[in-house]
Amino acid sequence: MAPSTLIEMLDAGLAKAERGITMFSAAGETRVGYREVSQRIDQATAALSFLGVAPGDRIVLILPQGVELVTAFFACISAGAIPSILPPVSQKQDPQLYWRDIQILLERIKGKALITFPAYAVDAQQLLANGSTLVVTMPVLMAMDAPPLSRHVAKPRDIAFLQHSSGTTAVKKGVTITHAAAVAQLEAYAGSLSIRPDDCVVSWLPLYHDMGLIACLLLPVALGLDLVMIDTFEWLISPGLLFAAIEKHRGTLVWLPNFAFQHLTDIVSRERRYDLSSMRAFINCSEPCRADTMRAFAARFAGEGAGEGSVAVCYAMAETVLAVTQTPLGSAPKTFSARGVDFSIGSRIEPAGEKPSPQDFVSCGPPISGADVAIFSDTNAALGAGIVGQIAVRAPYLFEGYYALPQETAHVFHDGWYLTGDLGFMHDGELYVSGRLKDTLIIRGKNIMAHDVEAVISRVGGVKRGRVVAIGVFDEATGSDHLVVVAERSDAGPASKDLKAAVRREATRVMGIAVSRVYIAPAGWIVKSTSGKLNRKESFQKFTNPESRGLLE
Amino acid sequence: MSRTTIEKLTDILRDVFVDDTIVIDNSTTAEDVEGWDSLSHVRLIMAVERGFKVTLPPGDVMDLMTVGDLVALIERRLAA
Repeated sequence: MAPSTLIEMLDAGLAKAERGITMFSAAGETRVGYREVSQRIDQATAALSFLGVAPGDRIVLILPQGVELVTAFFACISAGAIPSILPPVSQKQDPQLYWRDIQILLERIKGKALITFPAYAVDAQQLLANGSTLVVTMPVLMAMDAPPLSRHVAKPRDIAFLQHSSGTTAVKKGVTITHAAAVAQLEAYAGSLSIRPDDCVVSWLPLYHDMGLIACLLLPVALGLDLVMIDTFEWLISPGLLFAAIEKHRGTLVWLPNFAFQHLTDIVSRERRYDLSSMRAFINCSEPCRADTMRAFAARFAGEGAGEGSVAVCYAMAETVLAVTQTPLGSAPKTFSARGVDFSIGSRIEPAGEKPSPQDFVSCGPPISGADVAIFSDTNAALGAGIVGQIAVRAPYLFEGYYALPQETAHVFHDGWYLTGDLGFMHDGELYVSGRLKDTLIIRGKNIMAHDVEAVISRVGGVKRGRVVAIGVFDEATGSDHLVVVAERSDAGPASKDLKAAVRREATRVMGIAVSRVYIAPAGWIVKSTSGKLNRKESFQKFTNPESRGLLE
Repeated sequence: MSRTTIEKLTDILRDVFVDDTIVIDNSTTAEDVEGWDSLSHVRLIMAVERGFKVTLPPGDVMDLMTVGDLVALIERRLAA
């Protein structure tokens, strides 16, 4: 019988005893077979229950990338609890502020427990001041002598997990995913990728991000495929590790944000050739895909087995569990060369023909099975093919809403359609994404809310309160948007150089994110409405206009 | 006279971050230099490895807090 819950699906995948998870590193590798993974999950499930975790309880996981985190996540689900993975504190972020944000989030979702690593447990216990959340480490769970427990029997409509991938910690919204939605997505997406039993997923993506969690953990485990994981930081500094892992394990599927294609193209040494001939697809996902980045990647690695036909594109979001569209594997994604510069709602997209400086859009492919994609006008009326509008999605794998945030949830639904906040158009049955409507900045695959950044920077001494705008500006060198902040100086504010350093330091300290460029603007440069509301769109247009940009320091 | 590590490093930073006005000392941090984030840090490290003809262990280069730490690491590797 077809599985109806994630627990049944994972059990079926974990029954493939000959497959497993390999942690791959320059220093060597360790492999844990699915039988062993399953036993570890049983132990952790029993221990959680013994500690009083009951079905429906929310549990936050802050653990390093690896089998421990995988075990903890699946153990929570097996116990009927609702796990959510959050990122560890980033380097240079103030731990006090990090834990304050975690505490706010735990209070909102009424978190029952935090599972973390021993080095964090002491901090967590001290800094989570109210003490209502149980703090527990994996070594403790794994050593606990708890009576065995059979897997919880969930109902398809029960919540399986929360995905907190958008925004900075305190204001992160928990995308609520049911068992039914997770199963429907995994089945539909596996179908569109024509998954084979010998597929092998290789990934350095963090599991607190939807692409890492769904494509590079749930999909391979639920389908009983081999999975090779690489630590994110180790990959960043030695990107060639990804190719070494593919070569050694005959990897077939890899998901990457656009900047990672650029990083691999720029940094991987030409002195070492890799055999990438086993690869079925490098899938560009989670930040806008650029035609030039894909072409450069395919040209650079074609000789090693990763030419044009091995790159693919997926349009995905946590709110649909993951994929909405996917280009067919085995052929290069189509591109559309458009005339003009106006790609706002209601504009008709015309082919550029012989006109100079066209804008190249890369196809994200046709909708995967079950997904309905529509293009909406300003008033949420459906627009025809070739016209730009807001992308709206309906699917059996749509999320239930943002956990404990009914207002935020109501804002993004219209008549059963999820309003993505992305702009795009349909052409020949395929979706092309052309921009953003929402004030979400996508920086290297990470979703950052512009107003969060602005609120933090607004409090920096020397910055004029409320006169800050955060924008994403495409950077050719990295193949991703850069986070750019424009701030006006308060009267008697410090010199520009010092103020810029202060802005960058505060963004790192409070949010753990790097601001790539800071510009100091003369008074009145930032555009506000008569009611005092920041006009981000017009401020951005001023930034792209050489004349008004010339006024910035 | 041979140039000091920090002088040579200044040139490398100016080159990587495309800014000839960059001035650094041992207490300079990434926040003091426009565009210095985790991704460009990798480019900087590659440029440092080429410029000084040293290899820097991946485990060490992500833990550097100041330019002084980087100078110390380079000098340790040069002496090794």
